[in-house]
Amino acid sequence: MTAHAENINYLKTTRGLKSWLTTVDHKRIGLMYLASILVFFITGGLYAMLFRLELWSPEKNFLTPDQYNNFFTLHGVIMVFLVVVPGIPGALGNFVLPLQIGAKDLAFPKLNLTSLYLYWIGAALAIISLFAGHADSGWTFYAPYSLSKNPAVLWMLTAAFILGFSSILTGLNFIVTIHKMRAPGMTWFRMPLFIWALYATAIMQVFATPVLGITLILLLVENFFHIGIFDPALGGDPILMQHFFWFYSHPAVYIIVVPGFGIASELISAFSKREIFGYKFIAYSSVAITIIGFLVWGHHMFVAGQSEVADTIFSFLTFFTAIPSAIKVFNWTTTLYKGSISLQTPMLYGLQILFNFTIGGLTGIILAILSVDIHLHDTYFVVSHFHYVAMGTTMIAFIGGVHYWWPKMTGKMFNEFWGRLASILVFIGFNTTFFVQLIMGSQGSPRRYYHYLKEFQIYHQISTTGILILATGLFMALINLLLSLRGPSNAPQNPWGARTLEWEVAETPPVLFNFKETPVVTHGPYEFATEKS
Amino acid sequence: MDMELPGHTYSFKVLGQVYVSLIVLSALMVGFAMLPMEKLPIDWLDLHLVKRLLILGVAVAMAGIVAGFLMGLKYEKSKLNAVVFLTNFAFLLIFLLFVLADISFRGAMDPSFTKQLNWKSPVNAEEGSSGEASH
Amino acid sequence: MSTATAGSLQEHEVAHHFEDLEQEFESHRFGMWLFMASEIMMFGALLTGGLFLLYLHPDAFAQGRAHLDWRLGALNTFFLLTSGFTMARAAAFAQKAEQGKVRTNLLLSLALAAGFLVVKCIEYKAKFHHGLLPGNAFHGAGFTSPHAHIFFGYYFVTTGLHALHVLVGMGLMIWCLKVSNRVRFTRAYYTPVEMAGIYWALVDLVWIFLFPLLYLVG
Ligand SMILES: [Cu+2]
Repeated sequence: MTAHAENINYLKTTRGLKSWLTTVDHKRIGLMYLASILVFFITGGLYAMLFRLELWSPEKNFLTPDQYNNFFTLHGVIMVFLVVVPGIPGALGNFVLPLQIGAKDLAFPKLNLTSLYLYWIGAALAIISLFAGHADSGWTFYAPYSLSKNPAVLWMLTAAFILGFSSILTGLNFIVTIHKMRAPGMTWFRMPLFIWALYATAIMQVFATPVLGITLILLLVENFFHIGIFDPALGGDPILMQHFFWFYSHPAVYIIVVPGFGIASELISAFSKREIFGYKFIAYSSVAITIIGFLVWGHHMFVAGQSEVADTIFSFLTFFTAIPSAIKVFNWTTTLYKGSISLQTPMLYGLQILFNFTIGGLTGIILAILSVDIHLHDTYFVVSHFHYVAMGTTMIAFIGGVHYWWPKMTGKMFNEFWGRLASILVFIGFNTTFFVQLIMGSQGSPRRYYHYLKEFQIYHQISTTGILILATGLFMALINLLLSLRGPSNAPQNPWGARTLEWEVAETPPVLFNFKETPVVTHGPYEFATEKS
Repeated sequence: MDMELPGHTYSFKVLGQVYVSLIVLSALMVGFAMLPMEKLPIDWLDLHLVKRLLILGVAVAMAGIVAGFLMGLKYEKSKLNAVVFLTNFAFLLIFLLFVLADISFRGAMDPSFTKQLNWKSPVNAEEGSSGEASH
Repeated sequence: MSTATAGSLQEHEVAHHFEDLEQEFESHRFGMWLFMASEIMMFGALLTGGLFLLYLHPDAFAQGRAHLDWRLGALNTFFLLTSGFTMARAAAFAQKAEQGKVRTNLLLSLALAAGFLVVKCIEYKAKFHHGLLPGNAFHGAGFTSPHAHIFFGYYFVTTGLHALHVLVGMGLMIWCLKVSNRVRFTRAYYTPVEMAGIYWALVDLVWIFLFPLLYLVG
């Protein structure tokens, strides 16, 4: 690479498919993640639409029960392992992290590319599974459902294992980069909150994902050699499998949602033109969520047959997660107070996060109560709670983040009118889909059932209508973004007037090594001029 | 060289001492295991457990030596990697304790519950019939 | 073995995105440690599962252990500890820029690791011979516990996974040998040997817990 190449726009340094596939530039890798994740988001979403349409009426419409089980499994596996877990760190984190801390790249650029390839391999295995039969174990792979040597499930297990590896390597890369590669003057408390969130996430990726890895290995071995660790028919303990699985998968919920919190902090502060309220509290609350997140996995097993003593401990500890979550919600709300709020597209998503996560978080506390959970367990209430967090918070943050950083990534501005309209449709569609599920669940409608009682039909129909509105909004947003690519490169360096490095110092789009010279940081990430009186 | 040198300088003498102590400790571990402790006339103590704890203690000591000297935790200027290592054990301890909180109290409040779920007698018509020796 | 003459070796160059050697070394070491952390979590969870099974089926573990030869386990412990020692010596010689002795120690470690695998094969073969196998393949004689097969299932999974790590570690040693043909190790640059050494120490670390759990306790 010539010295001259370092100072031009990263999209133009080299050309051709091969230059993308062999790149070690974190920005290009981020964009490739973004494209892949969008593809799987659409795929997983289509499965959801199909089985929601099937649920329009209690009797069979166009899916067999077997296909129905298969579709919700595919929806779950694709959305969890291919979309929400790698989503924000892989696509936005990769692109933004080095820019926000003033580094030339991640600490291990080749390893970063390896993560992407592992992601693709995992995705390919998941696709093989689609053709290998009907994966029907649910995304949780509970024993003994996952022990019937169903080839589709076996491919899915392998896919999830590889994807876990990809996730570990991304996390590892982020932690080292944040510790070792910050620009001069970028102290820990000058880091944007998105970085704090990615840091907390990365800790969970590195420490929890290996437990998922060993769980999946044991399930595979159990399938082939019947070692009897998890299989009750051989003297094993299926509850042990659930301990293993949830030791990862509860922290995984925070792997999913904490980066979304990070984006919320960026959006709400940037579009209120106001220093974020309680910066340190938000930063520490991300770390606190990480630690508490490792202590509460048993709340998924209240009715599975684990001991009452463990139930009580886990229930008690679960309440503590409310504290850091509430700190964030209150601090974001206080940031809005007396801010000069501009309701541009990314901010509309930021406000949705605030609304949706409040519902998602509070329903979580309801579920943590032992006696209530006995009633609500495995009902639509849980489904709705989870979607308010994973979709309503994380994916909304993802979409908001994509809009926010889109000008930096591509150099193009999207159409503001269609962007806002799409965001409003997403809000209406999402809440229509999932709010009724809370009501339906509280009345005892079980999840994952193919047939249901006639009384619940109206709720199912509202929910299905909601998903159609949601899909319209999402496609509108996507088309709006893609159309901007055909437009002029009109994005200014700092269209939102934000104070973080990627907007203030880096060009739009950034040069190959991000900055023409290493930036020296002299102020915090949210010090807006209005603040100084 | 004007810049700081990376890492720490290895000492052959220390490495030798580390090696010898690891070998001695593993011999000690085997020794503890061979000790016919359960024959001692003590009934107020679970001697099996004592033996296991002794062996575990030796293993932890060996792990400490490996991590400290062979993996270099002892020589770190910033204790970052040591923190990572300790975090590991904290999380694993949590995992172990909570799993134990489950298994050792199953059926403690409602014994019939475990019976309904048939926890302890899952095996197994096939295995018995496959000619396995049994009581 | 030293094929390359001193003159043909290159000096290491710091990668473009790092400021200096120290930052590069510290980043690599930290990254390696985080990877080790994830390995420790994986094996740690597996060992926790083992303790769980020990609690659930103590008789199966007691009878299963009686069929493992602790002397072979102890021999393998000796092999691993000694190879850990030679790997550390390789790093120490790399710091002194004694390329030849680095290679000798790497080769020694490689031989000891291979010895470990040979002993493992002998053990596996005996298990196959006596039908001490997981699940339905189990047809060992003289067991009163109906769950003895679980012990052997667990034995094969843990030792198999550990053996896989031994193989990867051997791969890293071979990689270090290759690098030593190309790049000069000095006090300022010995990263590859250090990284392989850390990985190999982890293989030791896991064995230190596996050995008593499988061969001694039960
Ligand atoms: Cu949870």
